[in-house]
Amino acid sequence: MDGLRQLRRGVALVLAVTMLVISMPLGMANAALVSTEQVLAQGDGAAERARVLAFLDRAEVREQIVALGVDPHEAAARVRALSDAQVREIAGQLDQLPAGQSAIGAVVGAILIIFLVLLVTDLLGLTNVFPFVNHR
Amino acid sequence: MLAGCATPDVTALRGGTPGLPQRAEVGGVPFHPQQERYCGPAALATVLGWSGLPARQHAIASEVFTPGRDGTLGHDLIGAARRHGRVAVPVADLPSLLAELAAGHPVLVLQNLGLEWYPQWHFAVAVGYDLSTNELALRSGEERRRVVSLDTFGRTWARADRWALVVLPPERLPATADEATVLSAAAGLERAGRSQEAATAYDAVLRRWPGSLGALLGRGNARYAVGDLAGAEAAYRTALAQHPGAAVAWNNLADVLAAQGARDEALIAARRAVDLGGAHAEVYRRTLEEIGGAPA
Repeated sequence: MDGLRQLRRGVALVLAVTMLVISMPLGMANAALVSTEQVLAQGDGAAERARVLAFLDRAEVREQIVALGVDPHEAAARVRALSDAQVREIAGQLDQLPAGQSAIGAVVGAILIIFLVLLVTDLLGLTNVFPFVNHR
Repeated sequence: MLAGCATPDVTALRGGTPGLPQRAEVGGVPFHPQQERYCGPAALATVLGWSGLPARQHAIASEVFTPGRDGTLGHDLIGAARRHGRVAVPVADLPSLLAELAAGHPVLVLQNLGLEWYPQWHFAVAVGYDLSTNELALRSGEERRRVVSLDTFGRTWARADRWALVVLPPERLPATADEATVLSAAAGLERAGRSQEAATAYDAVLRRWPGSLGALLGRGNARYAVGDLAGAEAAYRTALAQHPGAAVAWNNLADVLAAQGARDEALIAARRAVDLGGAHAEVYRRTLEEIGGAPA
């Protein structure tokens, strides 16, 4: 899994550099503008490197969002609205980040917990709730 | 484990927070009873509505709901607020949260209603508090005004890493956040393609922090992005009048001058940036080359 991720990053890096080279003569005016985000990043010498890394993470995060069932166009729009720092923060984390659902889920969850607790106590012979637990 | 759930925030409040009124309730906050799994869209619709953009949870769900997670992720709420031209600024701690409520700003919060090892993540909108009864009021789930003790809220909020957000019209600033936090929120509007609103936000930052280099440059960049080249040039010149040694401002001025065809002036500005150097020295050299000057 890690190896695959490394490989994909490698491929993405080659693509990114290719795209950068191809797009050089185009978009002249803005290629040399320092964005507000870059200014705020208070970068040392590593500013440019961080930008390239975030560029790679953007593609990866977009893929992950699509894999989680979001329409590809919408996924692209979501990623576009995030800063480099945010993208770097969530890359590879979308499966673990807290996802807000509902207050009702807590009740269902509570029932599940009670079920599990009773199951354990049943297995320990402290309770006798479930017929499928053997008590001998 | 239990010690980890203590609420030093609330203890700090009891010590008395100067300037914080005993109680406050934000007016004009709509109520969107959440539908199944839609606490994220409902909470966002609530704060967007308060900020003057009526929204419906079903309509905005596509922007924030992630089917594969069966819920909403925090960064998508920030992104969606920006895409609607609203400034989304994080709120740091409980005293700040109450101060925002006192300033009339509802606060979107993430809570873990369950336990650390059995999390139940939930988005809600804090709308009021009362220190004398130690209570907080929220638009939460299907309840228009859920009242919980500040201690309980403090615990459920701490278990969610104190994630909280104010979502404001671009001309309005949060009551508590510092300059850097507000600036990156404004830059987020540029990122989301809402440069017009970003320019408005930078103007607001400059009213509170008149010398802010980030806001002076951001205003230029935002005007540039909407094609207002003369306005961008003026903004960069204003930045330089206050910060003559800001290489970034020289660089971006060079860029906008070149875009307007003022090549000679652009060259002078570009050389100043290259001479000053700094974190973005590579970009400054590129600017100079593109305008046609000799590489430094």
